[in-house]
Amino acid sequence: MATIAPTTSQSKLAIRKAADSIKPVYVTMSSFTGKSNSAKKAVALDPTVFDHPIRRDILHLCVVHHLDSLRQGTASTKTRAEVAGSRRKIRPQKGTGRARLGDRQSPMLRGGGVAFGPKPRDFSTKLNRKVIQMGMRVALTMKLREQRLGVLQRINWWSHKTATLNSRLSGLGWRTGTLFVTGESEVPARMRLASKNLRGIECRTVADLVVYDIVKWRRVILDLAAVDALERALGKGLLGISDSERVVSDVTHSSVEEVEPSA
Amino acid sequence: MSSVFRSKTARITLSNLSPGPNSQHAQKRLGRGQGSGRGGTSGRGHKGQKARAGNGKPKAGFEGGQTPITKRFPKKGFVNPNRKVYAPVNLDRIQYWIDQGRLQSSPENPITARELLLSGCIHNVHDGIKLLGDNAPCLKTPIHITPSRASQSAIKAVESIGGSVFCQYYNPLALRDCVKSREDRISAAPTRRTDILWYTNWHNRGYLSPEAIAKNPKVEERWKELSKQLLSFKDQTFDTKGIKKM
Repeated sequence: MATIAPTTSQSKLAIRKAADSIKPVYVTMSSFTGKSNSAKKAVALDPTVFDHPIRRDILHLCVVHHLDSLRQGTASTKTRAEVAGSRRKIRPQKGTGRARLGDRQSPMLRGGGVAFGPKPRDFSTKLNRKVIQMGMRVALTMKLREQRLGVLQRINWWSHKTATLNSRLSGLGWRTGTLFVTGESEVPARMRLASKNLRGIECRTVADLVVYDIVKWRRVILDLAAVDALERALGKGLLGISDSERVVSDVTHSSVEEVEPSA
Repeated sequence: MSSVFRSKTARITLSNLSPGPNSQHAQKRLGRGQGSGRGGTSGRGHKGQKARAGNGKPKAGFEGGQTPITKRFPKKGFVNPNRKVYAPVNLDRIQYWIDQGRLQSSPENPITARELLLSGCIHNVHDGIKLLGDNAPCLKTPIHITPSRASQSAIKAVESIGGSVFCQYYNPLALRDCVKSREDRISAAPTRRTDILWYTNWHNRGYLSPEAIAKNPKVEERWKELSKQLLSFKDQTFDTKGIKKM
């Protein structure tokens, strides 16, 4: 570009064009019906979402913001104006040897109103949308690095009976502290029914996922649709992993980290 | 298992999150005991006007009776409600935008306020666009543009390469329609004398000047009639028959 006066970032454009090649991060694909001796597949993940630099302070902001929004804020007290009672002056201004007093609702007196007491209020705060998005990326990265992130083909269960799911999850070591996140618009019915009564298991759609959930739950299991949805919402779009490139069978690749959600 | 040495070996859980250092400052709480350093008189000292509840001053800016700074200097001037602020755009910036592919122009689709705003060349159209000629030698491609105003050097530079400049009158409603690309309304003609004289002048490349009407490929029928009527004063003479000469 031959402009004499680069009023905008000419150098930034040049750097962007000569970007370093971005490689995906991999996680081993899990399965409900896992045969331990079969060949493992890996799932390619967008590194801008799943390999983000860790920012613990951003996680703190997102968690506090979420918990503030949950506050009911219904603590209420009566001020001296709201306490029932007459406006009559209790005793004369002068003459009695005692302190001067007005009406009976003064905060000085027993039975009077509260001075500066709590009133019902909204404790929710604003947090910049992009900070929350970064929080999601940091949380997902953190879970992946701690080997607590898993990917299933689909979050589906063959039976509505809780006992069946219970035994399978116990076998996998996922019985407590597992959050299943599906990318579909609704959690599949049988999975929902089977997991509803299990304490320590929760099923959620990707639209309802918050940073707090990812930090709180021990294990986060996504399905491929959820991975797609998250990468679309949070990714920079520099590495577009299509559906065909998502699941990789060639596990002997050097960049594959054999990471599995630990028991 | 990755063999990378991790700086923080503890897993991140809800129990070990903390804010960034120095990102949060403890609240100043007055009147909560001597240990806090702000108990008792709560940082106000003893008695006096400033120690009282409510504001410590009779009114804002009061300097104890000394002539306040807001009164020391005389008032000056007035604010003109008809003032127009034009968003400047220079030729080198337009050329850079064209190089990046963010702006295109042709005689049928000239660059208007809308294209400049949406491409990010301009951040706010204000009362219109004024084309200025900073770094005019940078301009290499012929551009066709319809700003509200244009400087003489900009006009010269654009036309020397083979582009065209036609300055069009935009009142606030017309400018909004241009930016939102609304075509159901008719853009108003200039009504003020200064505006009429300016936009009927080919020196300014005004869109209502006869030369512009002839050259402009995007000329509207209405403008031809307007141009004729607004310039009719030039040929008008007064009827002096029967009037006594003083």
